[in-house]
Amino acid sequence: MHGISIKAEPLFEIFGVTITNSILLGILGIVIVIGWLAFTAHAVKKDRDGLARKGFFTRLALWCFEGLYKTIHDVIPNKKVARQVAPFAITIFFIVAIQYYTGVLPFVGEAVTWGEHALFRSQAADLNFTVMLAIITIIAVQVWAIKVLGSKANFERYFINPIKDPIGSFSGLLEIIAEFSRLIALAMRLFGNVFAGEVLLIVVAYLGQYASPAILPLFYIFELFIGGIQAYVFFMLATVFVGLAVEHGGHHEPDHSAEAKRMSEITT
Amino acid sequence: MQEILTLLANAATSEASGGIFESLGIDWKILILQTIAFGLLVFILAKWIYPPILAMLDRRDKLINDSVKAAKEATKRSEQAAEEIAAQLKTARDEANEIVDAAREQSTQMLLDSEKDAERRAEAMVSAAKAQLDRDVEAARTMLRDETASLVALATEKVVSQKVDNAADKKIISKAIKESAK
Repeated sequence: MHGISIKAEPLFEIFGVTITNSILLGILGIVIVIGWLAFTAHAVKKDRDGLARKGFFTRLALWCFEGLYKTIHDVIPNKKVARQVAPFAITIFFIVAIQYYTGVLPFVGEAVTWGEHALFRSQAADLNFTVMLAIITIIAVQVWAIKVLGSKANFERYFINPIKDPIGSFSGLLEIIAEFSRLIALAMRLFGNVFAGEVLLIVVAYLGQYASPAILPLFYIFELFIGGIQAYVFFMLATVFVGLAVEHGGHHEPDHSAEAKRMSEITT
Repeated sequence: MQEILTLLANAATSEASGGIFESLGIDWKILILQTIAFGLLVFILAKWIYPPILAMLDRRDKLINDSVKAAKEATKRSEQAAEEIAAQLKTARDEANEIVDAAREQSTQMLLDSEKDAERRAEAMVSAAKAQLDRDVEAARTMLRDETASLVALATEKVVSQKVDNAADKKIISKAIKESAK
């Protein structure tokens, strides 16, 4: 056991960019996501009514896709925005899930080493990946908020004249803090889960000694479960943030207030 | 307390000079690389891979909705058909009843008519027969009368053996007959 490293270790450099062990596995994850979904899309293209019999992986991808797509439409009542958000949010789900699952592959970790570091490391156990996803999510929320509400209304979500509405001004301030806390929470939640999961697997493997082949599969299954949950949580939060931001300015425009009302009806 | 703080500070500084980001392994170059990779991934998926899946889902939803609609329509139509059949049966039964009633009435009428006709014909036959009989009786009577007259004349002639004048003769005879007829 080389010790548990909280950050991805550098392997070599290309054009001044340090290539870490997590990037190698990240490339594999991206290839798997694209390959899997492309395969699904190819299988679906020939199927006119969507009723033909499909393989397990195609059905799994379609099941996930359809469920997520419906969830987005439930969370964001605005159909146009929901359709725009769908590719982004669904991609988040698939990439997070796959990056998580590649982390529990047998050759990941200390099993295969390069120099003194592990050659592969789960992308999701690298803060660069989770922070990037969180930043993109928060920026995307802002972009959609500006698109739907307009830049002025979006600005007014955070900066409210303190003389006119002191409480609103304070809540606007809180809103700004909330955006940053969301960013950090998004990044840290995923990272913490993956990292803790990998540490847990290593610890169980060492503690189990000769019994570990019998015990580890249980923990692998548990990890797969957590991975699915985390991917869904990240997806759900991204969707909900967009939904909240889009709904927020509803009080100013009658068009959106109806949607806000419908949303509150759904939630109550 | 102070020990923990210094420990944390040491951990932050000992890793490298970059502070907390460095110790957590956050590198802006890799961040940019990751962002580009994710952007490309979303672009590729949204451009080539999601549309066929979405199209299939839409098609399937449409098919399901259409099927449900068709099933509803079929149910409605079958109900309508059942109602129509019931209505038609009812009218047919009514018509049949009407026809039977009419036929019954007609047959009764016909029976009555034919009875009356038969009666009338019988009466006519009877009266014709009576008339014939009367005529026959009359004829017989006339014949008898004539024969009697000639017989009487013959007898008288024989009895008298002298032929009186024919006219006188006849006058006497008819007188005798009249008297006898009385």
